[in-house]
Amino acid sequence: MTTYIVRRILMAIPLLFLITIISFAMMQMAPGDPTALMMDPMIKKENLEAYKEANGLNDNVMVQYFRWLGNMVQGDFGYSLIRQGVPVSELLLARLPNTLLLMGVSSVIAFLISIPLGVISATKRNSLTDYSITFVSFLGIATPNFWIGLMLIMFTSVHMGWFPTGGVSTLGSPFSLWDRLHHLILPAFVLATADMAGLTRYSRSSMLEVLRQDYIRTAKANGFKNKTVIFKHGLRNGLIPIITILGLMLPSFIGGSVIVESIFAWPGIGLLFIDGAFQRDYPVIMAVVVIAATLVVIGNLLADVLYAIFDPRIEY
Amino acid sequence: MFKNRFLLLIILALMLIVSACSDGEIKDSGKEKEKEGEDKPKVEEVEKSGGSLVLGTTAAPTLFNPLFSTDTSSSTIEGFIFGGLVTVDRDFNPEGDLAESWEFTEDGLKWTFYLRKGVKWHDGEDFTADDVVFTYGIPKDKAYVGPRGLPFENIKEVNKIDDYTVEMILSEPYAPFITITAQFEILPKHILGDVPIADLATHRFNTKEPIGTGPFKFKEWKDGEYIELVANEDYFKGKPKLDSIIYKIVPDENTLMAQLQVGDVSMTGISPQYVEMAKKLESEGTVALSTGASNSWEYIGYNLRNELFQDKLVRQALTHAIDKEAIVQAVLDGAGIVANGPGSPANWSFNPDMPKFEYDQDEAKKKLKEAGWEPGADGIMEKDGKKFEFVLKTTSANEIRMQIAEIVQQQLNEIGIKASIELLEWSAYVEQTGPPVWNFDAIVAGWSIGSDPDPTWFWHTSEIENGLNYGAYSNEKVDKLLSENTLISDLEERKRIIGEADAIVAEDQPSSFLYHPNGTLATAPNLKGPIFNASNTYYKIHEWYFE
Amino acid sequence: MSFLEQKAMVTEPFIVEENHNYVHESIWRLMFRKFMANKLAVIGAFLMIIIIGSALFAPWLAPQDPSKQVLLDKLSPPGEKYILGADILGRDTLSRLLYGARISLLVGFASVAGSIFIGTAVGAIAGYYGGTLDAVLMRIVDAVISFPSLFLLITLVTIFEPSVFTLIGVFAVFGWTGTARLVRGEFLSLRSSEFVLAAKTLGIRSSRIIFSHILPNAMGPIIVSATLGVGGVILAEAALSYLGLGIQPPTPSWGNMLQSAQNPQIMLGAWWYPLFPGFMILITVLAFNFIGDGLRDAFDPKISE
Repeated sequence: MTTYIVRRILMAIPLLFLITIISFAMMQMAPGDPTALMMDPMIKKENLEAYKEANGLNDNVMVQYFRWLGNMVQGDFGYSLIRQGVPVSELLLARLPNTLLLMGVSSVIAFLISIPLGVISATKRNSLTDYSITFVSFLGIATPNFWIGLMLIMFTSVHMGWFPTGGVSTLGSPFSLWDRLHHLILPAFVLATADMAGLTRYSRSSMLEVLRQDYIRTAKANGFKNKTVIFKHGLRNGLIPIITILGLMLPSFIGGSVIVESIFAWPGIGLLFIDGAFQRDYPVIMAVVVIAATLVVIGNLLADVLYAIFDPRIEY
Repeated sequence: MFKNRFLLLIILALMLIVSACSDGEIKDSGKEKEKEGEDKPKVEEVEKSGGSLVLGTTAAPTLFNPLFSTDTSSSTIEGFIFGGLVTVDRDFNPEGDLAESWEFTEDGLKWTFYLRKGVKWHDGEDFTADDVVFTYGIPKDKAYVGPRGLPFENIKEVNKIDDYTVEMILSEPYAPFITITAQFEILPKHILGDVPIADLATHRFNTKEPIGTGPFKFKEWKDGEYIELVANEDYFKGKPKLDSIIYKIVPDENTLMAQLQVGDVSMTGISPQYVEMAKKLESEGTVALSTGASNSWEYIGYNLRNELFQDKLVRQALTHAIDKEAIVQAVLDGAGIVANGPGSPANWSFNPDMPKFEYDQDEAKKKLKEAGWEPGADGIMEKDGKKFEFVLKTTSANEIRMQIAEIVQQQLNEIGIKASIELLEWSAYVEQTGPPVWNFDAIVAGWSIGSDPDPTWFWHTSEIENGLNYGAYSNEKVDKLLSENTLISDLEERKRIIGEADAIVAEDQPSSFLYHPNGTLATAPNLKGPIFNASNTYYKIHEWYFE
Repeated sequence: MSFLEQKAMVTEPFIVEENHNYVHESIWRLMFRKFMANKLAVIGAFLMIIIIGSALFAPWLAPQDPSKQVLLDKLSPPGEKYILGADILGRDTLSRLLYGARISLLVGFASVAGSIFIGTAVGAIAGYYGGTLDAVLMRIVDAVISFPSLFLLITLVTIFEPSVFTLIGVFAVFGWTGTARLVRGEFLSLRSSEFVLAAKTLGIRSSRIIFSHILPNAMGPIIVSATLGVGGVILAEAALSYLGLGIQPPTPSWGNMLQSAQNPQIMLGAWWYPLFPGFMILITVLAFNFIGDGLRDAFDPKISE
C-alpha cells in the first residue's frame, strides 16, 4: 500500500513539470511582450529597455523558463504587472482559501443531493421517479451556470431577500459562522449544479451494478429488509467508486469558479484569473493556471489513494 | 512643444465607463448650499448617525500613489486619502486644498502657494513645504519611470520659501497648470524621503500603509473584496461626518445592480444600459438618482491614414448617413445630447455653434457623388474600381459601443457603404488602436475631458505620433489655435480660441461625432451630499452624511 | 486493467472476421432497437433533427433578415410582427435564433470533429504502438486534462481574439483528451487480439490494421463521446459569451444572444428576450445528452434491453 502511494506521488512529478511547460509555452505565444500594455506610450524607450533587462525579458526562452520554474518551486511567482509591488504569491494566498471553501461546500452539496437521488433512481429503476430524476439532472447539465446564478440572485436575493447578493461576508459585521454560510449557499449551489447531474447519473449506475451483485441478492433472500439491504450493504460498496469521481469533478469545479466567482463577487482565484486575463497580467495568469492544474493533480492523487485505502478488493 | 499625455490612461479608462462626472446644474448647487445652512444646527445629531458609505465599483484599484497609478478606481481612493495643493469644485473652478491661497505673476511663470498651517499627516506628523518640494521633485528625478512625468515637465524649479510657502517657476506659461499639475496629491516626505526613487513604484506604502492628509485614513484592503477607509478625525476641513468609506468591488455589473437594489451599495455610477432600471428603482424609493451631461463625447473615429477617409466630403457624408438621434433614443433611452463636434456642454469651454451635418441620406449620397463615389452593380459605392468597404472596430467590454457599431453598420449599408464589425477584448483593443500600431479603419470610441478642457491631445498634429490623435488628423489652423490656447490665462479669451478650433474640427469631421452621454449617479435615498457633476464627483465628501 | 480496457474486451467478440457481415449487421440492428427503446434518446434524436433542419433551412424559415434593425421596435414583445419578439436593436428574435443555430451548431460540430480527429490519432498511436511512445503521449494527456478547461479557453481566447475559427480551434485543441484515452483503451485491448496478431503475421501494414481493423471497433465509444461533446461546446461557448469572449456580435450565436439579455433591466421588463436563446441552448444540449446516453446504452453489450 505504502509503495503504491509513494509510486503514485512520484508519478505526479513529471506531470506537474509538463503542466508548467504548457503554461509557460502558452504565455510565450501571446503576441508582443508583457511591457506592451503595462507601459504608457509616454515612457521613454530607454526606460522600457532597462525594465526589460532588469526583469530578464531579454533572456533566452529556456533561461526564462527555468528561472520562472525555479522561483515558483520556492513559492515565488513573481510580481503582478498591474498591481505593482504586490507579489503574486500574496494574491494567491489571499484568494485560494476562498476558492477552496467554495469548492468544498459545493462538493458537499453536490454529494448530499446527487447520491440520494442516484440511489432512489437506481432502486426505482425505470419508474416515473427514475425518469424525472434523470430529466432534472440533464436539465442541470444543460443550463448555463451564469443563467442559473443570475436568476437565483434576482429571485431569491433581490426579490425574496433570502440570501445576500454576493461577497463572502456582511461588510463591517464581526465574524459569524452563520453569516459566512449564508453567503456561501447560493454560489456553492450554483457551482454544484454543473456536476450534480453527472454525479447523480454515476451513483445511479454504480448502485445498479451493486444491486445486481450476488451478496445483495443473498441478503434479500435471507429476509433482510429492502432498505437495510440498500443502505447497509449496497450503498457502502456502491460509494467506493464514487470517490474517484471526486477527482474527475475537480477541473470543472475550478473552471466553473471563474463564472460563479464573477457573478457572486466571490474573491477567489477564478476571479483573480479573469481579472488577470483581461489585463494581460501574465505572472498572475500563469500562476493561477499552474495552481489550478496542480490542485487537479493533487485531487486525483487523493482520490486514487482514498480508493486504494477503502476498496479492500484492490491489492498492491 | 509642450506635451501632456499623463491623462492618457485615465481617459482610456473613462472611455469604458460613461462615468459619473458632469456639470452640476447651478440650480442644484444652490439648493445644496441652502441645505447645508439648514443642517448646521443639527450637526451633533448628524455626527451621531455616522455610518459607512459603500461605493460600488466593478474595477479593483491597483495602488494608492498618485504618481504611479493610472486607473480610475485608484485615483478616486487617492482623492480620499491624500490632499493636493488645490482641488476643483463642481464647476471646474480651482479651490484651495492644502494650499490656502496662491498667486502668480502676470507672465504666468511664477506661482506661489501659501500652505495651510496645522495640517497633520494621518500618522500625526506635521505637513510642511518640505512635503510639497519632495513630491514635485519625484517626477522630475531621472530615476522616475512612472506614468506621470509629463505634467511636471515644464516646472523649472520648486523652491521652499519658508515652512508654509512654496514657489514654482515654469519654463513657459501653461493654463492647465493650476487645474492639472497643482491638483496632484502630496506625498509624505518623512516616510518616503529616504526611499530610492526607483523603488517607489513597488514600495509597500502604495498598497499596505498609505499615509495622507485627506479626510479618510486607509484601514484595510481586502483583496478582491473591498478597501476600507475610516474618518480622519483631525481632517483640516473638519471631521468627516461619515464614519467610514468602503470601496466595494463587485466584478459583475448585473450583480452590482442587484446590490444597489437591496441596499448593499450606497452609491454607484449607472451605465446607460441600466438607466431605465435605475429609474424604476427611484420611483420605488429604493435609490435616489442625479443625472447630468458628462464631460465627454462618443464618436466614430476614422483613420485618416486610410485613403477612404482622407476626403473631408466623404467624412461629412458618413456623418450625414448616421441617425444620431435614433442612436441616442434606442441605445441610451434618450439619456444623451446629439453631438456636432468635440467638447461637452458640461464644460465651460463648449462651443454650441459648431457646423452641423444632420441625418440626411440624400445629402450623404450627394456628397459621396461629389467626391467621386458612385453606386456599383451590387449597390456598394465604388470609385476607380475600389469599393467602399471598411472594418469598424470597437471593444466587447462596452455593450453600448457594440450596439452603436451594429446600428451604424446598418445605416451606412443603406447608402451603399459596407462596414464589417470587429470586436476586440479591451486590452487588445487598446493595443491595436493606439500608437504605434493604429491598426484600424474606423472605431467606435469616446473621449472624456479632464479637469482642463485643453483639446491639444485630441487634434494637434504633434499628438499623432505618440498621443491620443489616433486618427492622424492634422490641420494647420487648428494646430496654431491649440498651441496658443494653453498660453492664455484669461478664461473668456481661451474659451473663444478653443471654440474656434473645435468649430474647425467639427467642419472637418475627422470623426463622426455622435453624442454627449448623460451620466447618472445612484445613491441611497438617505445619503445627503453627492450630486452628479462632471467636475468633481466627491466634492466635499467630508460633509456627506446619512439622514 | 482499467475499467475501459475491460469494457473493450467485452466488445471484442463481435468482430470475429469470418462472420463479419452477419454479426455486424445484427449488432447494428440490435443497437438500433436498444436505442429506440430509450424514450429520452428518441426524443433527443427527434429534437436534434428539428434543430439541425431549421439551422440548415434558416434562410427559408426565417421570417425576416436577422440583421435588419427597426430601432423603434426595440424589445417588442412576441406578437404578430415578431413571433418571438424583437431584441435590443429591434431585430427579429426568431430569425436570429435560426441563424444563430447555424453558428452554434457549426462551432459545436466543427470543434468536436477536430477534437475527435486529434484524440483518435493520439489514442490510436499510443494504443497501437504502446511502450515509451504510449507513456509519453498519455502523460501529455494527463497534463492537458489537469487544466480546468475554462481557464485554458479564456487564456487562449484572450491571446488569439475570439473569432469563429479561433473558438473552434481552441475547443478542438483542448477537447481531445477524453477521446484519446478512450481510443487508446480500445486499441490496447484489441492489438493483442488474435485477428490483429494474425494480420500482423500476414505482413499487413500497420496503417491498414489501424484503419480497417481496429478503428471500426472503437467507433462506438467515440460516437458517444462526440455526441456529448457537442452539447459541452455549445455550453462552453455560452459561458465564454457571458465573459464577452464567445462568438462576437453582430454574428448571432445563442450564447451571445443570451448574454446580451443578461441584464436585470431586460430580464424583468422583457422576459422573452433571454428566454428563447436560453431555451434553445437548453433543449439542444439536452437533446445531445439524451442521444449520447441512448447511444452509450446501445453500444454497451452489458446492458440488456
